[in-house]
Amino acid sequence: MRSILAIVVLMISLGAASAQQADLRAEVNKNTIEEGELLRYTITIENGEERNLTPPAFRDFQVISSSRSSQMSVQIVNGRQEIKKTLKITYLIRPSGVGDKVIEAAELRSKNGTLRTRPIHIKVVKSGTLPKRKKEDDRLPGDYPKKDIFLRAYLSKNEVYKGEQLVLYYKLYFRSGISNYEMPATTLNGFWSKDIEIKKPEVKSQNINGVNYRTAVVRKLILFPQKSGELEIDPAQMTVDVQYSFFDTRRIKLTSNAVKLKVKDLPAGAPPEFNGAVGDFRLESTLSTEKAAVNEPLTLRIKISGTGNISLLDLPEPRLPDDFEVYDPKINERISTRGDVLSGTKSYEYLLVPRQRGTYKLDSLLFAWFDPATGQYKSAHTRSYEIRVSGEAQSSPGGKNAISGLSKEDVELLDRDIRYIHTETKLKRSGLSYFASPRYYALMLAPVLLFLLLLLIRRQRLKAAGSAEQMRQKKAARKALKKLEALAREKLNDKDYFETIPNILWDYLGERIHLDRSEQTQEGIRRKFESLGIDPRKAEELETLLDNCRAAVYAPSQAGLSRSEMLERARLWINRFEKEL
Amino acid sequence: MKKSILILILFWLAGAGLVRAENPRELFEKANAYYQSGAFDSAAVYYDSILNLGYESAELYFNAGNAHYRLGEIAPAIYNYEKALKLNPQFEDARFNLQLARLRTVDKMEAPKRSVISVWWRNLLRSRSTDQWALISTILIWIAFFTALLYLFAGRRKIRVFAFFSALFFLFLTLFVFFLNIENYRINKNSREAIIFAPNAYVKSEPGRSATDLFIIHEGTKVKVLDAAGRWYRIQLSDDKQGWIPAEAVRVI
Repeated sequence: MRSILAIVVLMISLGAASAQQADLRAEVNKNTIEEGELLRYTITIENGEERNLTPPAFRDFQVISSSRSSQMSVQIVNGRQEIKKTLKITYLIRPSGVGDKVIEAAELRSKNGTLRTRPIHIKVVKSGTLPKRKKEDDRLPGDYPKKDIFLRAYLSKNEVYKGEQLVLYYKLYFRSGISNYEMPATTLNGFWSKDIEIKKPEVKSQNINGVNYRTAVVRKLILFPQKSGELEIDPAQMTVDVQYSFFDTRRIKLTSNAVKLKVKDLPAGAPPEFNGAVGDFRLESTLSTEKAAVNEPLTLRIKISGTGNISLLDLPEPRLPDDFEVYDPKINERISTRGDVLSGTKSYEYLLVPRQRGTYKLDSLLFAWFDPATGQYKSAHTRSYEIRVSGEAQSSPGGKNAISGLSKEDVELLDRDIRYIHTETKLKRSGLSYFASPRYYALMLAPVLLFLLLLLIRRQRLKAAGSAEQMRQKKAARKALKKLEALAREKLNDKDYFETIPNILWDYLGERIHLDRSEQTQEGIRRKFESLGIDPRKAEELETLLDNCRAAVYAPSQAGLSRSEMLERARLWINRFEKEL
Repeated sequence: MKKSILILILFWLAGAGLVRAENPRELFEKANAYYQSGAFDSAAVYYDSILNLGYESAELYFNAGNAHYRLGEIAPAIYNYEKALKLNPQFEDARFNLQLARLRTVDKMEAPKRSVISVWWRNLLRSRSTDQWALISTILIWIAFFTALLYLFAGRRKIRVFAFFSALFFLFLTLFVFFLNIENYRINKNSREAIIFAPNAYVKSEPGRSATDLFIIHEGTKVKVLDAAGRWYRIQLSDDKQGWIPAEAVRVI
């Protein structure tokens, strides 16, 4: 009301100014006063002179004092300089007697004629009938009685779980009109907050200790405590323009009380999928189709709704195999604060593009939260899906999936075709293995056994042959010695006797060491003995023996040895030779 | 669908005695004829029917692999090529076609680096099949036998010395090949390999549907079968990753 008036006045004054027009106004600080109380009456003159003013006669009042203040302002409008003069004359007046009194009109003469204010009616009551504040009206501006207007902070709950929502109200108590106010402001530490919009404060009346107050909730906030313990919300401050009377408005700073609350930690035993959501929620999911073709996109929508801090929620992410391309989700959030409760929905829309055929599982998603109403953890899960992807995967050389993981050689193979079928074959019963067959072992063992057999036969034959030889050798010495004994008994002439001894020796050597007839020479004997490793002195002895025999045959007189001596020597040589072998 | 109908018809014909199923040779020629005329699905059915009769050869597996490859069935193609190479490791065409078929599989993994000696040994073992090694050892032991005979009965000393050492050499060679083959046989027996036949399969941390998924493998990938438990196989990939998969997802080579 006052602001409208001000605008009207301003417009008039501007109009006056542009035309150098005069203006006249009159106002009082209140309309109802007690008897003997002072009243302030102000006349405002614009672009006029005081000498042209005729003030009211104040017939019902007594003028205590008057004061003046003037102001001059220069304005340049459209290149024209305009000067505006304002003069204020304030009268402090006191009514005489009770009842309806009138302050008469003031008049100002100007070029455009006489300006006249409207008369102001004042109601004077008996002293003590008005509330106390009326008596204190003349205090300095801004020092408005605290009891008549104050701000209080309230919490909807005094004890909450961490993350549980609660409401913080700021309620203004007042008894006189409020023309304007600013929202109470405070700093909130340890809270996530969301303002509830108040379009038009609802004014109610409340009786406190017999005094009627009007009340209005001027600010509402939904709080989510982010830490546990005893939390305090600092006092909020606000400024209020209190309209004491039609003309008297004062700006007042108000400070609310501080409020405390206890924030409890969430109980133990949270499910593994819990990630801090507190409230009451519902989880839904929809998949556009469960039968898809390769490269045909699917949409997976996961929606969570309920009461609680939707904005801070994190939805579980779907786990999908690499055969799907998953694009970043489109996140949609809708929040409402209806009923002083923060609720809403948050939805994630995933675009999935299958790249391979097959049957794939889309596991159900788990979401857990703490429900402060029941004090328990709750969880929900979406349904799981089985996606059947049909069609042929793109495996052209240009395809992104096809080219990955190929070596240089593979790339060269890409545009080549398979080799042609073979038309010749030998079909066998399957499962027949040569390695595991008895035939293999027979063929492997046969040569071994055959070889061993041959070896055995040969050994046997050698053994037989060997033993006959040995016998002959062993017998040779005995045979020779026997022959020598027989020779001693035989009555032979010297010539025959000495010719027989070398023959017995030759026979013995022939049987014993296979001395051939061709080797019956000095040289032959030496070589034979050497090859057999026999002491060469044995050959010399034999040589002497044979020489002696030859000498006895051809020159008996020269022979120094008798028949028996010669026989004895031959026997001795054979015995020694046997030892030598 | 078309294939299953064909198989049904084939069984019916076999029942009616119209297809002389007892003659694998004729079936093979018929299959080749189908392949040549471009009827790969019929060819594949015929080739598979010979295998079902209990006959095999490297060429038969190779041809069956080709028919499946032409039909775009990569897992059976790879399976048959692997089978062909198992019978004949020097089958160059099978090796080539297998390489082409592998290009069309999804999983491409790098084998971890192994020492040069172990690679050389593996390659030596795998260069021949067990039966080929067995044949080689048979030939070697007979050579050893004949040189041993030469040693026993040769007249001249020089020949006998030469024969003795050659016999010894061939005997050692035989023993080497024999024990190498035993190792080869043991490895083949223990390290069974399989091809993934399902389009994809979840590899689990333990046997059972509810076990944790470790990773996914796709059609045509060759895996090693380490162990079995019920209807589940413990498998190992060429990059040494391990896990369990349902037995029906694979076919053991």
